[in-house]
Amino acid sequence: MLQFKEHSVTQIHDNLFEISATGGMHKPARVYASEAMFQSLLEEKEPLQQVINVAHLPGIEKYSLAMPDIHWGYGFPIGGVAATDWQDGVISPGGVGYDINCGVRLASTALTRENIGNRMNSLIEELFKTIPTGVGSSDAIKKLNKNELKAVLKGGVSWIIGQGYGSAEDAEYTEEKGRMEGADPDVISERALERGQSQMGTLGSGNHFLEVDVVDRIFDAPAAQKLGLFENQIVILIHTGSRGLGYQICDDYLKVMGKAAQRYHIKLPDRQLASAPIQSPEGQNYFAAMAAAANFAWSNRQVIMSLAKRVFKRTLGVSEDDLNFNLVYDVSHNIAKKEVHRVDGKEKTLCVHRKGATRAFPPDHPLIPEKYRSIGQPVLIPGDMGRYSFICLGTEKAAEETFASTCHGAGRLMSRNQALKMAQGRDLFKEMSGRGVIVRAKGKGTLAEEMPHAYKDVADVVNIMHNSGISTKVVRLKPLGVIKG
Amino acid sequence: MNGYIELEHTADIGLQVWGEDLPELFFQAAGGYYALALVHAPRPGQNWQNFTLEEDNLEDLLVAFLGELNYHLMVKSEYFYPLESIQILPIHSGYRMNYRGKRGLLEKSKNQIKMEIKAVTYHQLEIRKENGHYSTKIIFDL
Repeated sequence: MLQFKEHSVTQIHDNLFEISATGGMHKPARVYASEAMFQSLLEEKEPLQQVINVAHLPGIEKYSLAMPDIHWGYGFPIGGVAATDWQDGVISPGGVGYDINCGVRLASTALTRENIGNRMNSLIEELFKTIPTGVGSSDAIKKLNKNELKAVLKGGVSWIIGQGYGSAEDAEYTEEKGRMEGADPDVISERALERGQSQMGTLGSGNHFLEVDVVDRIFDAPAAQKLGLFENQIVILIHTGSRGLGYQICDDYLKVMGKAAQRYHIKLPDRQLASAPIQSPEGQNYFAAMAAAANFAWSNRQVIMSLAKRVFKRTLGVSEDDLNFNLVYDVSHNIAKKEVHRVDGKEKTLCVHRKGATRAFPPDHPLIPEKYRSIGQPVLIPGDMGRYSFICLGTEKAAEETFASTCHGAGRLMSRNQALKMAQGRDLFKEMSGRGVIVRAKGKGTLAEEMPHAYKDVADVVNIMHNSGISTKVVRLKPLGVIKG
Repeated sequence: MNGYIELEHTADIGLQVWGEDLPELFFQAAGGYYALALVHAPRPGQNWQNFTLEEDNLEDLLVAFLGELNYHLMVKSEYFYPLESIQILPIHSGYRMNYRGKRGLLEKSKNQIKMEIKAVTYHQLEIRKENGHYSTKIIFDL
């Protein structure tokens, strides 16, 4: 029997560990990890303590969960999942994070690597010129006035598609159809609105990116075919979120929730877990503000995809038909959702917090697009910019064990300073080029901070969830070109 | 002891800050914030601006103060340097902070921002007084 502080730890199977509920924990904690990963977590302490802290949330159901890309966050760990009862439970901005609806979008083309030939440099250059990247990046499209911004916050992807960015069917292939119910711009501060007005269609900085990838390995041919993916195909992967608007909403509501937690006598071990009952005015307002930020983020990725499509057509001189550009799917990995799940054999309405975790609905779930319903929800899991990313599918086991959730990425291995030190004296652009990846980055040091060696191997993370039967691998993507902040 | 050092954090970044009194602690925290966020130390700004903040406790006040600096830098490309006349006063509902700073503007074309700081967090934030000196740890979300 393993032990973590005062908690006994049971190994459920090769890749799943359960930490017993003691003290103020309402439920046990469960961590998906290999034995080696779990041993590191025991030594690191902080991420496991955060999974335990989350189990103190009033109304939490079944388990506080952690995915194998778990690392130290604020309040919740990154890679954390917690579901609370929609009527009697709490909602916590710390369970969503600052970058509300940070997520990933995959678009396919009919092109192969050979079709691009030696034009990858000019393609990446044009994408870099067209899609603003970096700190405070802005003005990808005309600045939205307040009324337009409020329309997108309420209407989500369909509104922005109506402005000429994409086609009507793109909404169908976006989680939640790109619009969360209950969004209310009137519960958002002026500062948050101001930050959103000029940032539609921008990537931002840090680990956000747009990649041109090639499908380099197929694990599940029938599913790949269903998703419209084939070997050697050129696809685009976009990772970004709600930008400054989301950061400001989280910041504003952490203050509100700090006071609300006192008012409702919610005792929590970490201030960053500040929460309010979902049905309280504070809980309802946060949900409405978060939903608005989520709608902004889906629209942001929609605009970026639309701008990227125009660059492909312009730079490669291909027709609409020859390009055959399609949105495969768009997922969120920082969000709280109202969802129905089975708990102790009964269906319950829950608030599922996913912070650095991806929704993974099983086959036949009614909220999956009809085209994919027989195979399960597509799950997009990006890796670092030098190795690979994975497209997987949600499973019935995910619905049973993890509130239909899985991992979201590789997770950092090194701090930014460690990565910068490792990069000293090296020509990183040349090294990446040697790996067959053309990189354009705006910020000083971005490339060094985001080098492959700074991240875990995403395959290790994805394989744990695959072997646990939570999300199964369909294809692997290899980056050919990357633009970053 | 007055000053700050950068703290290693896997995904984000932090500061350990010391000050012989509360105004000095807050002053050093501002210096540390600008050192993290900017490529070069800011040049003195042009015009003085006065600010007042009120919060329930000292930790909230520090988050609000650094949050204000961060909002102005990341959104408005404005910095306030030097900062002076920092006063922190207990009031009925908590603490009030008065300070003034000389407003300067970044030139966006020069890429003067080193890293985008999304927010100042409450993570493990606690202002301590030991042996007559104040210290705290601040983690920033990147």
